Amino acid sequence: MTIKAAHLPEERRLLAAIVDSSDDAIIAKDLDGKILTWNKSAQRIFGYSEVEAVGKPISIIAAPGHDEMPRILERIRRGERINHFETVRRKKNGELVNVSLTVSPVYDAQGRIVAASKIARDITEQVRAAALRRATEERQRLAEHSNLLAEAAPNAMIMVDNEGRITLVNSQTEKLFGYRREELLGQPVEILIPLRYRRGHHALRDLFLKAPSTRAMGAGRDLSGVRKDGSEVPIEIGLNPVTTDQGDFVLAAIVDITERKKVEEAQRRLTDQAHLLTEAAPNAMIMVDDEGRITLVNSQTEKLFGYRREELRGQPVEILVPERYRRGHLNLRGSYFATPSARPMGAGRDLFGLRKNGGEVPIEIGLNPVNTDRGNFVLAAIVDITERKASEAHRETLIAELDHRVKNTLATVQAIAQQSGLSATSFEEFRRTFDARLVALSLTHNLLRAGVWQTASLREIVAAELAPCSDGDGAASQFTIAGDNVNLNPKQALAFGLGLHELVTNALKYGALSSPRGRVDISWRVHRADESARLEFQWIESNGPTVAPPLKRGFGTKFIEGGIEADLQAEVRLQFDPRGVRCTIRAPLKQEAKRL
Amino acid sequence: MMPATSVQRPLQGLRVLIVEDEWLIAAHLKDLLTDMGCQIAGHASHQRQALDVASKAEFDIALLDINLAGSDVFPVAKAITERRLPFAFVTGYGAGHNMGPYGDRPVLQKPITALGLGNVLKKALEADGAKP
Repeated sequence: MTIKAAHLPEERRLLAAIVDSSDDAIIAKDLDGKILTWNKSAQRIFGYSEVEAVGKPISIIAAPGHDEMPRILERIRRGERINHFETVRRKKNGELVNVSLTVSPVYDAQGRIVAASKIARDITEQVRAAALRRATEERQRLAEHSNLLAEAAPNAMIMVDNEGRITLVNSQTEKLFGYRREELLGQPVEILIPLRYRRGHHALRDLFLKAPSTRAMGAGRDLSGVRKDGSEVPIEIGLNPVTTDQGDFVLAAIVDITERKKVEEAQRRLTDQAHLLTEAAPNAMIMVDDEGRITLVNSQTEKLFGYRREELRGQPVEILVPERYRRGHLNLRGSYFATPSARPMGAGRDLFGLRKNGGEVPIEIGLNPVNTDRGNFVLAAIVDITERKASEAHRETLIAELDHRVKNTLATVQAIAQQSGLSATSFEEFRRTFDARLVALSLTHNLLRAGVWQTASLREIVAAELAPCSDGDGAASQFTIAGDNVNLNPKQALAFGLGLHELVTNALKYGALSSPRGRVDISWRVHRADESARLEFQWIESNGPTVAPPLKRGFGTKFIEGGIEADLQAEVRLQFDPRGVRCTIRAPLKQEAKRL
Repeated sequence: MMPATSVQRPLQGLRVLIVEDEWLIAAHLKDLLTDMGCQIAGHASHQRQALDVASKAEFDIALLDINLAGSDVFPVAKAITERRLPFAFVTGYGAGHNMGPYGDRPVLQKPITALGLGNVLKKALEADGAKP
């Protein structure tokens, strides 16, 4: 509005009344800022009366920090108008007041700008209301965001006030504990804690409130929550103190660690099983890292090498390698880690381990690379092959002995054939006598086999060689056998067997057994002295045809006199008594059971 | 020391000492040797007896069974070596048997043939003759 000069007092009064009735402060000032007019609302708003204000510079209502007045006057001088400019002014009593200003130039009759009219509206209330609205909206948005955040969180979140009452839960909390939200709100937080921990929790909660800090709850302990259905769930809890204008709270973030516990349990069981497995293994097992240090041994390793496991852990594995192989082992170890594979160590070579006591043990080693997130290892499974080596050596000896025995037996058979050939007058006779001698030899072999080629019983040898005469009608009544139990070694047994065969054959052909009335009495005794024992054996024929000494000494005679004498180191007396053949053999017995 | 020409000497009249613990095999050896024209210088069937004979008897060559009723014949071989007389082993042991310091001596494997016996005797005599 442009104020024009009023010429009529009536108009002026009317105008003044309008100005005074306005709710807005209406002020006129000249271009230097001196107040020219000041209405009632100006007085109400700014506290200065018309008398106090008129003639004063407008700067009396300037507020600190709001020094736009000179710029406003400048714009007025240029004929510009300022509309609804919101700013702050200062009342007479020093209070600040929010105002909306509309400032317009005032022209004189010649159209020159001579003053400014300013309408100031008090907008303090609106400004305050707007600020309040914004703050409320902001808080609501914040609450919504917090809620979204809490709902989106993967964990259960519970806000608890300083009396331990639940003030807020998210939906994860509902899922985890099986309660609906409204069942939890206002309840003491101990509702979620197993009975046995509740009392303790009370005390701990008080302690926390005295020195609140962001930390994990129950450090080091296994925590569990209790569900509505009474079941328990392993959990981990993070605590955050929260201070608001409504008081102090604790925000608890709760993680369900059921799965993690399961995984941990499975891992622990696996580790336990691996431990049991290695401990139960019949072999020594050693884990070595890629620097050759022993990281793990089982109890078999302790037994095999004589070290306790704590003496081995961390030691270079070469501690178990005999000195002379150590350098080589170092090199081989390096190349193994360059191209690790599961394979036996030292293929084809004899390996030895070094015991704590300095002794060596023959071993076999299987290597297995083991790659873990803690590095590359090799697992060595070590077998003590002492017994296997011994049994291999034993087998070698047995085979060599068997070979020797077979060769010797062949040589014996060869000798029997040759000697039989010398005595025989025809091929038929040779074949008969040779076959019979082989059978005699084989009978003794049978008895020796039964005695594991250590001994054979004299009684059984005698019985075996007399068996051909026991056949049929009561021939057995033609001889008597009486003697102690005597065991002969293989060499003695074989000589005795063949010697008896020759006696029996001769008796059947020429002697007592050639006549139904003839008799043979076979007896032996063992004479024991301090260290030695002597066998005295007798073969006495009677009631047979009259005996004449043989014209020619055949194989039988030679063998009994020569062979038995030599092979048993015996004294042999073979007598061709006209009443019957007599043979006495005196032989030392206390000889070890010797090899052939 | 036998003259180098001795290797040409026929086995006729060669005096052979037999150390063999089995009478039958010894008897066979004696027959074979006799057939070759050799003389039997003696026969021992166990270690003690063999040591005695080996150090005293007059013989040109010895045939030694390795296993003498559980004792080995090596002390006898040593005694014969000390007398600088030749010998050969006659044994049922295979080629892998530990022959102690006598691994280079001629060996006749049992069972025995006349040909094998003649060859081993010649070999023992030749080896002896080759010695300085």
